Amino acid sequence: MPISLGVEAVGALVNRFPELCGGCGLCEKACHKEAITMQIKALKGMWRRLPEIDLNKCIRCGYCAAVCQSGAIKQGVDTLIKMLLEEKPKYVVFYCNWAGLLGKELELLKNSLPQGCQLLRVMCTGRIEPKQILELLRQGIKGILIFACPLERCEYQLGNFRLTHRVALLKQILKDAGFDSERIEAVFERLDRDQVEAKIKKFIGKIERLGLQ
Amino acid sequence: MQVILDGQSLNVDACTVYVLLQKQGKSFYRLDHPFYAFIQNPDCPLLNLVEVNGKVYSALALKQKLVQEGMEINTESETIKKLLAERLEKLEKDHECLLIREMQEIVARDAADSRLLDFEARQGWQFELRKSWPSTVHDANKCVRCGGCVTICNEIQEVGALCMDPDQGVLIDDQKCVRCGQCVLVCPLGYAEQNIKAFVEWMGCKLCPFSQPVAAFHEEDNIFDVWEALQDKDKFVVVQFAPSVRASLGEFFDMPAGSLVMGKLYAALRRLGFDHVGDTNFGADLTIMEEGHELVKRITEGGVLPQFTSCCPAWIRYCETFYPELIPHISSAKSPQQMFGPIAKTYLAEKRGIDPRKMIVVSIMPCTAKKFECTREEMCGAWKYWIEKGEVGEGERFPDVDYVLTTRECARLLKMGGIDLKEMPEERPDPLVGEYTGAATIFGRTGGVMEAALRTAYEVITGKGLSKLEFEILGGLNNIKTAEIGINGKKIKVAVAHSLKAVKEICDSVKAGGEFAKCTFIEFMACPGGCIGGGGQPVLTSLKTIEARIEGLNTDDRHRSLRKSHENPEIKQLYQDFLKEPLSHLSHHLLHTTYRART
Repeated sequence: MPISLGVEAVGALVNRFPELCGGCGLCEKACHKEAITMQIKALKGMWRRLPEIDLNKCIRCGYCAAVCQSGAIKQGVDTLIKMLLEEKPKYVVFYCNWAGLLGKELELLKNSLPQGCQLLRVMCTGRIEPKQILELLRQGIKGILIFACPLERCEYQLGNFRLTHRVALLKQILKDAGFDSERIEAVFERLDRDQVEAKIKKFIGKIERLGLQ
Repeated sequence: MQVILDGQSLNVDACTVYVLLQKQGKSFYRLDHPFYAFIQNPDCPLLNLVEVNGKVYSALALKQKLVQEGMEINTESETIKKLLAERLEKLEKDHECLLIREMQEIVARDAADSRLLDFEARQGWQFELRKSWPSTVHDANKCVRCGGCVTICNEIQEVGALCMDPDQGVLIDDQKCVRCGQCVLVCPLGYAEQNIKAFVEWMGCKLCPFSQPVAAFHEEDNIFDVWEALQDKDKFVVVQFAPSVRASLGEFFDMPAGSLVMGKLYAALRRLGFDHVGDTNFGADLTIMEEGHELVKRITEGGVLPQFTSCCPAWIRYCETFYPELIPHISSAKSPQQMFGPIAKTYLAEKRGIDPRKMIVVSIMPCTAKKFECTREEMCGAWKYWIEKGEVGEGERFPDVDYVLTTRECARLLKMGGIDLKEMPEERPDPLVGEYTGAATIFGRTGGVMEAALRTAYEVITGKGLSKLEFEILGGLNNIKTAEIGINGKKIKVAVAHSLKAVKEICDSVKAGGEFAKCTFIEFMACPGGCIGGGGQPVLTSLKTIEARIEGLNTDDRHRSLRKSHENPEIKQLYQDFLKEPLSHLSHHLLHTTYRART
């Protein structure tokens, strides 16, 4: 497997694509560290409303990228998902960097995953974008399981709250679009490796009963 | 294995439920509703439903779902019928897909998590629609209160028509609003690049007219008016589309920004049922003939200088509202859209033997302000022409242009007609009002009107052609551009401004007799980048798409064999057969207009 843990670059959240920005300013509002300010600036001579990111204040939570609907702020994890899909997995497990398992434990977990299951570590589950989940489902992933920190124990303040809300809305959308909404699930507990393994097995068992091709 | 399909017990092999339904000759339940005709996705997840073990599944989901022992499949259950009726009713009322609407809620939820609003309270909001009639509508119940529109209106456009009320959301000052539509372009609910793109690709709804998200700010919807006119066999429907539409419409059909689609668009509009396919670029060439000759007249005979361009209706309204004392500077020539209208309803109607009262002129514009322009009371030159001829009564007023659709609406209209622009052949416009030159096509970008006018004016004054047609300095992205051109040994100064903040700077200077008062000709466009960044263009309009669209228009200009407006053979024919000469009595009647202060 070409993906090694911890590849997700910490500094990958610089606004590298100002020419794609639509100027709405949602990123400014999403940043709870006030690291982003929207400014009227000349880009190639033309006035645009663009975000200015103060990297000293930035804690790399990635919420700005998750709310950005124009593609001006992108995450390194998009590339990882592309690489991960090349392995043709059937299940994808997102694991928050701070959800409990570290270093060797996580490595062991990764090696003991069931066949067709891939693990992707993210710095915070609040930066998982709906488009990533939808893209995975489109590519034929049967189920997506997300391990997040306990609610109100987010290392970046409120990332997992954002995740609960997004997952709830996505489940509703899947239901209304006539799909099995059980295919996405989020766990908000600090679990040891055996418990995580058991959760994954249980989840896979549940999805297998849905009878998906 | 055994399954129960619509109450019948069957013994089937292992396969997906979708394949089983196909094998059994079962189709998805349909209600009798006209909207089915508009939905181009055969697997529409909203309307193709089947009940499996008491749960509702869509066609797309069933392609992945395997048949299991004892499965109960029901294709005509009451639940499905009820759901379909509800969904179709909602679709007919809002012209919006329920699923796309739910995708937009993710943005709202994120905004709530960013402390912009209370998500639970939002569910109960019942604000009325706020309108800048007849151009834009604001749906405050949808709004996520990010304030992007307010900032754009106040800081890049400096119009100040919008403000944010903590309780009621965005409020519009209808008097101040110039209808430029930049608020529509900035609303993040309309961005379809990320979440919605992923969803639409998965569901296969790209060619569905309801797959484009409708933002909290959107245009007044005229699609169904045009649709009805197209179905009416008694009406002769003429269509024109703006220069910049050819470089941006392709974005809705999976083509890169800046792809030139005019050939395909002529073909598509013809297949959609328009009786005569023209081109606003013809009107643009005509504008240059009138506006260019007006400029020459002002220079040689002494008139109010600098002359201001008059193509941009949002700029006109801005000037009328904020700088009424500068109105004499504005060229009296109508905009290309409003030149095409009366010419279609007089010249074209005569040539083709059509009753002008039965003619409907539809224009496809990158602009929301054009919807306002066509409703201006002065814009009925053709009606007055026919009254003078004694063929139409005083009580039968008809406007020069009946309906304006934005680029976004045009894409939806094509999709409603089941047309995939990408698959269309390259065709030509119908004769008489469709031919155009390179000078017309650059009207769609900042600096284009100026360049086009200079190409013609230079030749009219000096009798010689320009050695080089491009004025690179005027075509750049800078908000304010100036240049000096030597004509007959005399230097004349011209300026170009786009986005209303830049316009304001120049207007202040002209008013105070400053630097820009020495200019001879000034081009104003309200939207950043000119029409290619107009309020009716595809959302998202970013700097990247603006640049690509400009490049598309420049390419079109470079590849035209004729690049100066006065060389257009159909324009020559129009003057020969009908108008006689630029600034003639008839052209004053049909192609020139007046302005009024709106303070």
